Amino acid sequence: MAWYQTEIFWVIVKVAVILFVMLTGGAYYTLAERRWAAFFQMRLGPNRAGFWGLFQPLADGIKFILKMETFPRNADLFLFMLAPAISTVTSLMLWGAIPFTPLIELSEAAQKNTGSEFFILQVSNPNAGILYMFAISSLAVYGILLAGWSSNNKYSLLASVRSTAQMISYELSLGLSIIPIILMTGSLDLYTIIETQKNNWFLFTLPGFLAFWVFLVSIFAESNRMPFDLAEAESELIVGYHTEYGGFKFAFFMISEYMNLITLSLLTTILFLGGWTLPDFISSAISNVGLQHAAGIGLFLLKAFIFVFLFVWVRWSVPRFRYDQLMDIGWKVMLPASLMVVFIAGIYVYLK
Amino acid sequence: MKDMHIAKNRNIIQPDAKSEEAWTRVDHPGVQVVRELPDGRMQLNLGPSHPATHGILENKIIVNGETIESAEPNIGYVHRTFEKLGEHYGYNQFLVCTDRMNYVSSAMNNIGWVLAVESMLGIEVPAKATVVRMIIAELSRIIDHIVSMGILGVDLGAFASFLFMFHEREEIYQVLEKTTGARLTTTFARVGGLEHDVYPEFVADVKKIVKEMPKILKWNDKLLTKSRIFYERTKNISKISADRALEYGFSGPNLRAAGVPHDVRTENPYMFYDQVDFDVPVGENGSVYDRFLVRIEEMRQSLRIIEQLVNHIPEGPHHAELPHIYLPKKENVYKSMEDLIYHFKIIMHGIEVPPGEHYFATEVANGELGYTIISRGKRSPWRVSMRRPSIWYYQAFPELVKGDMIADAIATMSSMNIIAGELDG
Repeated sequence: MAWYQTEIFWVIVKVAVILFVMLTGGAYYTLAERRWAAFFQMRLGPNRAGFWGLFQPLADGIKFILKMETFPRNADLFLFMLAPAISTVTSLMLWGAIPFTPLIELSEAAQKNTGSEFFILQVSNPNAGILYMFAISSLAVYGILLAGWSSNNKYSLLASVRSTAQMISYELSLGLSIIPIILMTGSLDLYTIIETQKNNWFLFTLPGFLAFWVFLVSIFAESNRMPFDLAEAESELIVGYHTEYGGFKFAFFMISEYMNLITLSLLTTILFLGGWTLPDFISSAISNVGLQHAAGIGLFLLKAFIFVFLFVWVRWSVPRFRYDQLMDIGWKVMLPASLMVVFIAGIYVYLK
Repeated sequence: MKDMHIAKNRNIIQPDAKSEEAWTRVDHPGVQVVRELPDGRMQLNLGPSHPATHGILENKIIVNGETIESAEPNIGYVHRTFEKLGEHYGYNQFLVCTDRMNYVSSAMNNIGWVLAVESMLGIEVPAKATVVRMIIAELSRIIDHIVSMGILGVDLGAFASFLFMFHEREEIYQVLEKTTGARLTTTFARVGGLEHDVYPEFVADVKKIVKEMPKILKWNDKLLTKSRIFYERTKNISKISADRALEYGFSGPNLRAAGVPHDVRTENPYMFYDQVDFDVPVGENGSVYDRFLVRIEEMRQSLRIIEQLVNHIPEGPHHAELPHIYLPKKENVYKSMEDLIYHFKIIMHGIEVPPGEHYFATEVANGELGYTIISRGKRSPWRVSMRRPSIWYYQAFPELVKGDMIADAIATMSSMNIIAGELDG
């Protein structure tokens, strides 16, 4: 095989692996959310399908497929069908740039087979990876916007208006909150950002610490999660933008939301908690390189899991903001705070 | 009336030809699509079937963006002609109608009705019946407030507190079920006493509730009362001044939240409310947060009342020894001539209430529930009229939400504790 054929083959394999793992993860996140929520509320949650309810996502999937397709009268059918697709595709595309593993040096036999010296579970490595992430996640709002617009439902429309305003407001602080990291790293490449944090996570630097909180609040807003879930406020706007959706079209929205949450958890870990890097004192204790990598990746997933849990925890603990409060926080608190963080980061980097 | 004018000016747009063609299968001829009002405002039907309208409440609101410009509540979706039924039912039969008014705390409605009838008859019930009635009433008040505050939390997005509280509500329902045989529509009180005696472990079960309830209230405080988001969402929302609240005819927790210490239990005591020690919590500006706080404090006060009563349930019969009013025991009906006659008289002719007009009010969970009974000495009243507190709150709704946002309207609706069954009667 020519080199590009091998390359394409391996990219397809990687995409397949990542899609499988993450889609399963997204599906099981729905179960986890329901189970955890039940524990927070002294309930049992879904525990009928299989041991601990582990087949619940499967059962849900079958149910969604078998449901009757309904379309609201006078809906814009093309956009109505397109909207869930946009939501799902954008959240799938986000994984393209995430480096799930460090560069792993391959054995000679493997080098011969694959035709490359290193292996990394990352579909593509754009050198402005972080910009790619933010560009794609900004597109996700089109899914919500079009869903709300095309449904011919006033509640959906209000939800999409809310969601659009929310996205614009919080994208600003989200974008600004990663500037300290870019300043400290000097690169937009996610791999380099992780490598730089080998012995000192950005969370434990002054600008990184400040940026972390801005970033955390912004991703809650960005993912339409609880204190900011105005777009699907179920007691106000029925369920907001996907009021008119049922069956698998609804499942698309559902799973894209949870996949987004996983991505954001991974991204937070990459940006602030050092990704899969092991500090020197740990990596020196582990002699085997393979074990080192395994420990690093395991730690990476564990750290991401903390955020996965945090999303659920916060959702079931706090009430929802009102629309004007949301805007106030976005423009009067988060934006000045993120500008301040950028300013502090500038001084910090200059003095260093 | 200005609001009505706006609602009539709908701009009715025909669906465009293309989409009409696409939907001929399901579209009915002459269906018109109301998109928006001429000047860009939008009419939104908040209810009758909306997740936040607990019960069937219809609100047509005109919104400009998210801001409400006017609201137009409509009532009557669950109107079951209780006042008309009251003219045909006997005095004890009408209890089932009172159950179905405020179905969240139905025992209190029963008690109010039998107290009204008893005061017309001029009879005394034994102390035991009264004490048990008071305990049941206060337990019902707690249930009602749990539902009301829990739903407010749910409408603001805080689900956990709601379920914590419902856990305790279930305990209370267990007691009610054991006592009355029903959970929702208790029909426990009877003219002249109670349907039957309380079960032996009643005191222990009630004591357990009194002991455990404060813990749940503490959790609720942590999750809602002290939550910054909850505070920001509810403070100064749908404020109403004391004067305006009185003009609208507010009563109960909503009036007390506006700053008027009006409570029928203290101002015009019935049963033994003049002998128990409790405080009447009062709010400041009648906002959603004040109503919430007043309800929480009322739950604590209700627990206090129960605590004082539960150790002193007197011995004795659970009904007055008035055989022409209280139905005799069924087994005696077969053995004793007098009981058979009284049984026949009560079943066939009912309780004969002396002619006259009478109003009797009790403090139920969401306000002052009054029964006006006009009797002409027959087995059923000549006319029954209920002062149902919800209807007075609901007419203030347009004024309260004007200028607020949609989310505030929903908080207002749940904080006023409007029960559709009671509203429509």
